[in-house]
Amino acid sequence: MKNSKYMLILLTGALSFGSCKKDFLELFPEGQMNEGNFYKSTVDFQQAVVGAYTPLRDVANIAFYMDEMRSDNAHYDYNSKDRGGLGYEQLADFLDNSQNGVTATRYQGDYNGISRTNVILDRLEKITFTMADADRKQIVGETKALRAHYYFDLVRHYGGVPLHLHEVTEKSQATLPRSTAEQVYAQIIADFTDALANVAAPKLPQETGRVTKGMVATELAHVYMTLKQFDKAIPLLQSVTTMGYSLWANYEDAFKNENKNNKESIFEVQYKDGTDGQSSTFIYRFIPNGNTLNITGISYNDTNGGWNYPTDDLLAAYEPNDKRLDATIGVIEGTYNANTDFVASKIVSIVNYKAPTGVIAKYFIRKYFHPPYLLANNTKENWPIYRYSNVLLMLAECLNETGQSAAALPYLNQVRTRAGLAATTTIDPALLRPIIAHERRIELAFENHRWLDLVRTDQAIPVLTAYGIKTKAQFGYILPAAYNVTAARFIYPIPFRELQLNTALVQSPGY
Amino acid sequence: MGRKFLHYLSGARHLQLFLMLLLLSPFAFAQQSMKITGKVTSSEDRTGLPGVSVKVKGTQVGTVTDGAGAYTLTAAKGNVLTFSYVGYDLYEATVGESSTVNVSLKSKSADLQEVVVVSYGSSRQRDITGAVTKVNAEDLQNLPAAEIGQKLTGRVPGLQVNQASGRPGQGMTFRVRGAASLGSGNQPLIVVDGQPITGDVNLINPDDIESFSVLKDAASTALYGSRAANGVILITTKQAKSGRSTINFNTYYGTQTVLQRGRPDIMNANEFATFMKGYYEDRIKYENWKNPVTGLAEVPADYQNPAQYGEGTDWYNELLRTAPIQNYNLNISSGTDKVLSSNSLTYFKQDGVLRNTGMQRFSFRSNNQYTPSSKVKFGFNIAPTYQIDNNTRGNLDGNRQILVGGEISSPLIPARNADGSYPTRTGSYGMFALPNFLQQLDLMKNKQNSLRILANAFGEIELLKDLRFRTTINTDLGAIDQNSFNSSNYGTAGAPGPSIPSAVSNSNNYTSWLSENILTYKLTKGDHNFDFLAGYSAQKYNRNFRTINGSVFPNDNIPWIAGAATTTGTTNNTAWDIASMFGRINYDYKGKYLISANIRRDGSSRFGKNSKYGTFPSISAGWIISEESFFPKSDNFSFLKIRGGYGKTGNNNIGDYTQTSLVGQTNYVFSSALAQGLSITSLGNPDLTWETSKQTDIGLEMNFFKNRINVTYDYYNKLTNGMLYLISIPYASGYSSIRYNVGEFKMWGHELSINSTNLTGEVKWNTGFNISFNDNKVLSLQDNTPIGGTATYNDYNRTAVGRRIGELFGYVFDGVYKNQQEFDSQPKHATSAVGTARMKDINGDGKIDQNDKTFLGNPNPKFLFGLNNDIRYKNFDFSISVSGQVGNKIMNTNLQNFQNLDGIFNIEKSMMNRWRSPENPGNGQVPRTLSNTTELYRFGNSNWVFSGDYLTIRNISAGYTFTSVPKYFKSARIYLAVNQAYVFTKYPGQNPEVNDSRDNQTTAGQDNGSYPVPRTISIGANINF
Repeated sequence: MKNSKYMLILLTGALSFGSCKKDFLELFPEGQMNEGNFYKSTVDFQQAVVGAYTPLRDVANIAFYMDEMRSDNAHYDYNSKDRGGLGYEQLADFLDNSQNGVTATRYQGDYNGISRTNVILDRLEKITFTMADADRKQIVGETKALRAHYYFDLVRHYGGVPLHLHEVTEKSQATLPRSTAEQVYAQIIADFTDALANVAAPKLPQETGRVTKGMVATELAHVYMTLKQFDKAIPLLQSVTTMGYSLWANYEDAFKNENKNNKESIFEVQYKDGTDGQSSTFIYRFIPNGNTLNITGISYNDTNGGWNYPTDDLLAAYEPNDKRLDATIGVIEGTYNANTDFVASKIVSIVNYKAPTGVIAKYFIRKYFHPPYLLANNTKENWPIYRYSNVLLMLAECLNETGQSAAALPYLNQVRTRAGLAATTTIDPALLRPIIAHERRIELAFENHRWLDLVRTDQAIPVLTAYGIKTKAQFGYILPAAYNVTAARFIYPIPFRELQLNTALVQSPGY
Repeated sequence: MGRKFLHYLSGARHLQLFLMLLLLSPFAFAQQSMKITGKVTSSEDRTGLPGVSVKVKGTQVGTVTDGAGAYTLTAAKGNVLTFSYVGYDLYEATVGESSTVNVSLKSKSADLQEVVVVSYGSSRQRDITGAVTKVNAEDLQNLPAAEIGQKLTGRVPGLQVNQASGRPGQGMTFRVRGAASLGSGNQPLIVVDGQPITGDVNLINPDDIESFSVLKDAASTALYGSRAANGVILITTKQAKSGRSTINFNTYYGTQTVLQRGRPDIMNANEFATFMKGYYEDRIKYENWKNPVTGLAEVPADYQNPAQYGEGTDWYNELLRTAPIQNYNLNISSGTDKVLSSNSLTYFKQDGVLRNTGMQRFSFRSNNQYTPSSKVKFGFNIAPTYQIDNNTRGNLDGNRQILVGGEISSPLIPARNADGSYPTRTGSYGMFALPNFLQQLDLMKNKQNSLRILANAFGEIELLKDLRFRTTINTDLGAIDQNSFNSSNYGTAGAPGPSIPSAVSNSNNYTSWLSENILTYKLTKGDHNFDFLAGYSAQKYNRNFRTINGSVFPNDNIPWIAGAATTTGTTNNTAWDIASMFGRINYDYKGKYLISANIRRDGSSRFGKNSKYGTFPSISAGWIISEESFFPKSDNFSFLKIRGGYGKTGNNNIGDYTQTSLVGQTNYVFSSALAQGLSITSLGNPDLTWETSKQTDIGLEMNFFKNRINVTYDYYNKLTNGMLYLISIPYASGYSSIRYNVGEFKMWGHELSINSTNLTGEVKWNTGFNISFNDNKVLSLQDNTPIGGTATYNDYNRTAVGRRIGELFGYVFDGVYKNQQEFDSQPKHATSAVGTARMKDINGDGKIDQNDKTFLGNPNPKFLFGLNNDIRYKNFDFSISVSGQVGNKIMNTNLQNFQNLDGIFNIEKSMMNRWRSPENPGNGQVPRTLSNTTELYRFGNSNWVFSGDYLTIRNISAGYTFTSVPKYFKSARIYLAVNQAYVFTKYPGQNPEVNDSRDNQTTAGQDNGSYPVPRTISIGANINF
């Protein structure tokens, strides 16, 4: 049978090639973890907690547009050649709308953080392995503190937002309506209160960058202050003063890379340089566009600079001989070439600075500038969220607001003395209030507090309306409609995309 | 065979039943045999035809005519003999009393008898009950083409083939019966010699192709199950013919040029300087502007005296060139009754009309078939292809990439300095930071080498009479290696050089193997003809890919990453599996009532755990009315068939692993050191499954005047459920999107094709015409939330319930506020001023904002058509083919640059007519240049939307065949051809077929300044030895 020979060959071929491994149709990605093989151990959960910190950076990277440039501290270097930054400018000019990319990015960043904390908290309820009590406490504490932190950021910038407290696993769960601001604050206070009971105390002088009791107490106090419940903030802040924090002798030391997470640091957003994706780039946003060789020491063509420029208004606010001026603001000298490109030549001190003729001087934020750098557009500068000097000023403010002005002075004067200024002696609460506010503006300049402080202390409309009139007179390119500062503008709009995708949402009035 | 897989098969009861049915069918009938002899001649010149296949119908008995056309075989009285020969009509003769059967074959006039390749087999055109169109590659040989799509344009009703871009080897998009999917791909499944291919279709050498079959309706595609919803194109490659040995050499050489029509209508140097002078005058007047360089309120020196500039630099023209295209193809084929072997070698080279771009391809194909006995057949085909893409995969087109970047560069700046060097910046005073794009193009180093091997081997054996078993092993192997190097002169728009040299190396290699095992059985009982098929297959695809980035090179001398100071790299892998079983029953009664039923069951690793398997059935029927006794026998109306089919098919292009929530790296820093973080970064969907199309097709086939005119008409109606789409979800969820089976769409259309043999005498003239109407409607979406149109920039389409898929979306431009009175009385945007752009207040709330965006047009054509004419007279041949489409809209998104009023780009001439003051308001259609007011005019708006109607003369060719040729030659033909001879269109852009997003129907119809499509004039030869 000749044909049976062929048949044998064919069948052998068919069967051998047809054979396949057991789970032929069950394939999982080999290059990435998936939910099926994660959340299975304490280490998994600890890594998940690390992931919940990461969105802090998404917010910090752009927060200055909304928190400093919106205020009288900072403006921008109008770039007529590239109008791609119009959205940033509109935040400063009070012309922003719900399609602004920055407000959407911040909103997304905060909710990414919230989602990651929700996943951890939900899945922690369902674990089938045994987790040590101490580990669980720390995980729960850090996670709740982060969730509260993200919601505090949201409620101050967007008002009452959808209150997601559980993991979203399908689309229908993603379309919650807005809660009221009161409901959001209640959740923030509950979460911080839980966190305070769970997280570890700081191990000063050197911290890791994680959430500590110091951070939780400070931020919870800040929440109460925002709600004008100063009496509730005082004990929290006082507890922070006993945790071992203290001020550096020199203001600028607080921002040095070698002093990261050290004695003056309550909480900061962590960065490191290198090619592993953990670097910051703040300074490249804060210096003029163009080649950066004569500024950062590294040749790099910066095309997204010119933001967050210190204003004349802020410069004028510094008291004579305030050591913080030189540490906060620097001058970049240069010239325009024939094509109106700015060519930087060198950095000089702002102290008693007068621009020589023929030289163009641009002010820039020096706080986050610590060369030498190794790589272009890549720095290790952290971003401070709370420093101990802020705690002292918060405590001074709370005491003053609760009729204990004399008790407030030592805290205020600790900060002033370090800056090389005379102690304040005023104990009239009405007089002391603007002094403390001014001190906050200078001490915390460019740390993303100014705009929120103006709103919190009901000063935004008078201060920024006056500032707007000055600024419009100074710059011809600003539209007449700019700087229409109204109460509706105290919060930013809910991003347009969210409204489109979730019909349960209602835009904030005025947008 | 693994347990799981066996289990899967054993679960398939219907396969077992089917096999039993096959085996239990007893049949046998004896007849009186006799020896038949005869001669086969050509009806035209009465000469004997060698190599004609003569078969006793319904048996394997057959032979081939000898050199004189004579044959001998054994048959019984009443048997039907079939005579088939390529290029001639199949002829059937019934054996009567005589032992001599002489026949005369007519060369092909109508395609009724033509054998058409269909899913897992072949069929006569007349017996087909689905919507299938065959195209013979022979008819397309005059078309110089890098891609098979260029050959098919305008040939097949219902198949929309567009040249979306002129990038050599990457331009074509296919769409069967309108858009089929949202974002999961609209490209049909391409099957080469029975093998569904997994890699780039454009690596298939067009010269190796014998024929195409385009399967359009569900009845004809359902055997491809979860991959069939977008239609199927079956490609059959050239095989040797029994009894013939041939050597062919085909070649062409052409030159490509970009036509003047459609070039950007931007300002020359004089005009641009004039515009800029006015721009600064207005800034001084309205904004107290001072030149920061001089501190003076005066127009910058560059623009003070526009008259000094003439035409200036035409950057678009500088980037283009006239480029050659060439092809050399040698085919040696030889066939005996035991062995068929066809081998071909091809070299193709196309230089791009953009300088420093081009591709070349070396391809080889060997198709071999061995028939040791009448019951056994083996085959082995292998086709390696090696393609080199030089810079054609670089950043050539798209927003502010090289081509558009050049267009917006200052015409005041020369392309080269007097000494021949390049100026490195091309922005005049105050302009955007632009590098010299000519320099960037000339310096580009981006090379991709692709090696592709398609191979298959099969064995076929007749187990019992008419019961055949066929097993096939197919492999599709690819290795792609792309290396690019950016030298220190590298720059982009916004970031001109010098820069630190960097390099990227991307490579991947994939393997796809497919094992198919098929049983077929034919059964004829009286007037009942059955044709059974059952099969199973398993396919596995695996791809490894890697990227290496090198940066900080010390200089430009080492283009390899070995020279980089910093190197980062990653590797990864992806895979999918499909296991399937399928079956078909064809039945006909007396050759006039035809029924076909198909079923396929697919299991796929891509589907979520809740829905691993899908079943895709179809049924179709045909009735050849002209065979009925009541049908008047007339040469004028010689054939009439009505057919209809219904079936279910799927689309599984959902990406690998999308059913699983993925945990991604979300690292952070503690104590100044990296801390490993992991978080769910993409939301999976365990319910994810194929998208299902249910399609009904009704067709009518008619022939008139002795089959000289064939008319085919089809109506289809397709309902697609569970469109797979990555839908956006609120950020508040912590995620931005989730893949969902989101909605329901309806698509329907009409297709008509007419093929006519107008003249048959000394002058032969054939005409083919086809036209297809398509439309679609979105019936539902997830929560009825529209898709797209939410972002400020680069989001120009919206898919919404009750409308068509991917309609263009944006503001409606309504002129400018000419004066204070208009400004005060009309709705305004937050940034509006007198003289600025006025968009329509669509929602009527008295202000203009993002809620005033609306639908601006349908990117899908209402109908498309093709018209092809072939005329032969003696040794001359002439052909012209035309195709076009009507009713679609194109959004020229490039106008965001050409209508930019910030004084930073070169722009359209029409921008001269801008508003400058109430006394000098321009033409009322162009806004002023006031700072901070111009953005609204840069948003997608109705100004950018144009009709995409076109009619293109695809090809005109004229040839001459030499019949008296020197020794060793059989015949030779030379021809002259013009491709893309002319484009008739009102679309002002270069290419009315443009579609930048290619395969994504939700972002269709956008033109961002793509690689131009040239006209090609070529000369070619076909030589037979």
